[in-house]
Amino acid sequence: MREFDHPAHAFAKPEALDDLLVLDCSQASFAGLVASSFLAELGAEVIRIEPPGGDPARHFTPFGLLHQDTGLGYLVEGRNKFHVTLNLETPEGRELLKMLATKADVLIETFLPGRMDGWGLGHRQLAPVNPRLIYCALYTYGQFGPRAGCGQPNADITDQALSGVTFITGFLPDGPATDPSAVPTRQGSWHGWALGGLWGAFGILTALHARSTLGVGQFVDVSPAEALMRSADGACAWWELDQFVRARVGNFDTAIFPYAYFRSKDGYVLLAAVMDPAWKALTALMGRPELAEQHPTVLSRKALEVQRRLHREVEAWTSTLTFEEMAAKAEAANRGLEMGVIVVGRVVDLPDVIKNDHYRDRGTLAVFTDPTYGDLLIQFPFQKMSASPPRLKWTCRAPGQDNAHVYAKHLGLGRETLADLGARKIV
Amino acid sequence: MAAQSYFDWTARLFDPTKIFGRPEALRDLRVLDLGTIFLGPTTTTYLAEYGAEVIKVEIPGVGDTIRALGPTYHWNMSLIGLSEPKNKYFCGLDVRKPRGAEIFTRLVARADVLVENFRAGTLERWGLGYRQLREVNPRLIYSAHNGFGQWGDYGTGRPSYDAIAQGESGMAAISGFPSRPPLKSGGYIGDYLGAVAGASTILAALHHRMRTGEGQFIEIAQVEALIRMLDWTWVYHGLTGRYRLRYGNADVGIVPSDIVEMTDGFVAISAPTDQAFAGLARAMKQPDLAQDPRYRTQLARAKDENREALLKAIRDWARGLTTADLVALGDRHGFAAARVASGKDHCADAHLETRRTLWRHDDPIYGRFPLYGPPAKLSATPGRVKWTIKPIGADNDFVFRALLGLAPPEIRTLESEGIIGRWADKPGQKPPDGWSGEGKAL
Repeated sequence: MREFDHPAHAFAKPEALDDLLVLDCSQASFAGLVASSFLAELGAEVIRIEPPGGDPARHFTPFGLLHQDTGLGYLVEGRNKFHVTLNLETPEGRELLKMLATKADVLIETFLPGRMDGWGLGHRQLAPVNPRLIYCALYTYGQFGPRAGCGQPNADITDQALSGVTFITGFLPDGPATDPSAVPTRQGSWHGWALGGLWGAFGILTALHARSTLGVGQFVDVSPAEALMRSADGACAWWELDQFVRARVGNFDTAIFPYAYFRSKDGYVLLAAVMDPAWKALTALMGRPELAEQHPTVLSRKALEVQRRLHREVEAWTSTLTFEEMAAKAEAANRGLEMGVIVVGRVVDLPDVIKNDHYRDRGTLAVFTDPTYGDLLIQFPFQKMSASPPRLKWTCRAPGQDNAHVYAKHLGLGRETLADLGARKIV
Repeated sequence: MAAQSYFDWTARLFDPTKIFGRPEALRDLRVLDLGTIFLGPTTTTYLAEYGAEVIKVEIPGVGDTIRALGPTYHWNMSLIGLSEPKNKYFCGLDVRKPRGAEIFTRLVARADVLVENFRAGTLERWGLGYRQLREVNPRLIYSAHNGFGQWGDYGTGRPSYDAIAQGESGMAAISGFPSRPPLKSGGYIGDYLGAVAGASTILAALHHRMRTGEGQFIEIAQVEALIRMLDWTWVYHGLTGRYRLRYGNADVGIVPSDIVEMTDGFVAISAPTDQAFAGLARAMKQPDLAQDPRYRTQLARAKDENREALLKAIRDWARGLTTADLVALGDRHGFAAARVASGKDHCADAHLETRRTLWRHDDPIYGRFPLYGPPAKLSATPGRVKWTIKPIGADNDFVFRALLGLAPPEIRTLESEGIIGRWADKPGQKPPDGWSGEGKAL
């Protein structure tokens, strides 16, 4: 299988989406950038349209760190995209975008709903000049509904908070005192934007498929908050069917024990024994068969206070073993199991990921030499595909770095025209 | 006035009452689902919501583990079982047995996509690997989903769960508070991210097939998908030599962005642009903050000492407000403020209900319960929910008779041999008590 889909062969193979022209007008949102990255990795010609001076997202960067004037988040998501500047605040700038949109397959934007429409660049105005255009807008509250016009900007943290995932994530206080680390907790990364962007790509590709039979494009409206909401599956049904508010349970699971993180001799592990026979086998391994007798069924282990007590008992065992020792014991026990399985997995620190040869071997995470930004340790496309694989061509460009190429190729604007437009702050 | 007419227009364009009057985007696709527990099955759920005919193939008397994933049961079905699948046809076929694999191969010949999430190499042992099935159907898109990939020296033979993917990718290591252990998300976020990433990749492969006629093999490794989506984590180490830590709810890359505790709950608050920050400063009645060189720009606000002082000032200010106050101030002044919402909050949210993101489902078998509806709203070909789960094998007649043309006596023989089958008498598998058979496809 390695020879079949190894990313080392990617550049010898065709690209899945290289017949598509995508305009990414997103600003101050990584949801739009993730959506266009997905398409660009798979071959689409993506034109990033930034205001002169660059997208504010270029300054979303830890501790204000810049590398060649670019924030570290943007370095990751500028990949394979041609970067132009265009001032949409000016009538001439809007006219140029409209000309580009006339020939594009996809347009992505993250403005407040109605902003593009007010500029004459909304789906309403572009569809008549390009009926095949797929217009994708990403906004926390979406394009319709009572909150769509609330005026709040896009933000990853509000996407996460609204999704319901934050509510069910985080530790519980150990005692009655307030503990600032025992509160609803966001994912460390921009996970709302990640899911919003992936759902944007999914919506666009679904609309693209429909276009092959309908012949026309359509409007794709994605709320990153709602995209992440799917990861809280069941929370709404749990409330209405049982009047139970699904709440956070620390490193436990709401329904299953053990399916939790435990301390081991060499770091944290996930230890899971989802089916009852596996739990029984685990307690035998621990030399504590009475625990399975006291709590034989998954339902009898569900209550949080039971989970907490059993967690202490199991951790007394896991903390005497390394991950490898525990995994070997689990594997031996699994051979005797007819149903269910004891599963052990690592909860690693970042150096373990970075130093793991597996990810270099698979082309997942490695140093990449970018033509503009030099050597960067960076994540590559995550999919392996045998016939039309994704690939990384460059990771980022400066604002307007591709103005000459893109404006010549798509609008026939040469050096002197661009100089004039630049002098008038249009590009 | 212009903005108002925009929202009138979008309300009509996306009118949820018209969903079932509009065509389905993926209605020409047939997808086979040979997965269990989210990663594979949720991938096909997303395709089914937008119209693909998804045939879920389960081992008779066993089925997908999600059927038995509590926390509670209704009508003999677990809550997760009720909530997760959408619009699939459910058949019981033991593909581990040669005769079952042979029947499955006939389904493959009529399918566009196959999604599986067994351990690497398992299906090849049963004669159902990509190398075998592409002989039957060269146009097949075969998507193999697992934890660490189909080849390589690390973990490829091991089972993987969502919580392992969160742990192995570094997602847990960067989530939570520095004084606490790595944090596992309460949601199965690695599975759900892998599923939409996988579904999108399958659509890209279908686009390639439309242009070339060629099928292909896809790998989606859950850990790799999460590694990809950890934004600046890796670049930061490469450029500084330092490792990203757990920073709690405060974002060190977008300032201010934090979760604050109010008198009546928790609220996320953020001002991601300088313009939004000026709005927040006005709401705090300290408009000068937006001119202060320590806070005027995103880059200045992100410096450690400035960030901490600013977040403290925001917490102190917000503490005296209610959630409703803060959200209203966000609306008025143009910064982001939103309740940390629960499932209960979702059920009372008129906005989500208007958008059918809170989908008030009336199931042909199980009746009424709420779901989270399709997140991507497509104006011309909207996603929809027709039904969720069914008992194992409920659609056997549709699949084996209508699709494969097996004669009823043949089906009975296969049933007696345990090749084709249905549910065992267990919650999660069997129908609701007193079920008349309504809701089967045939």
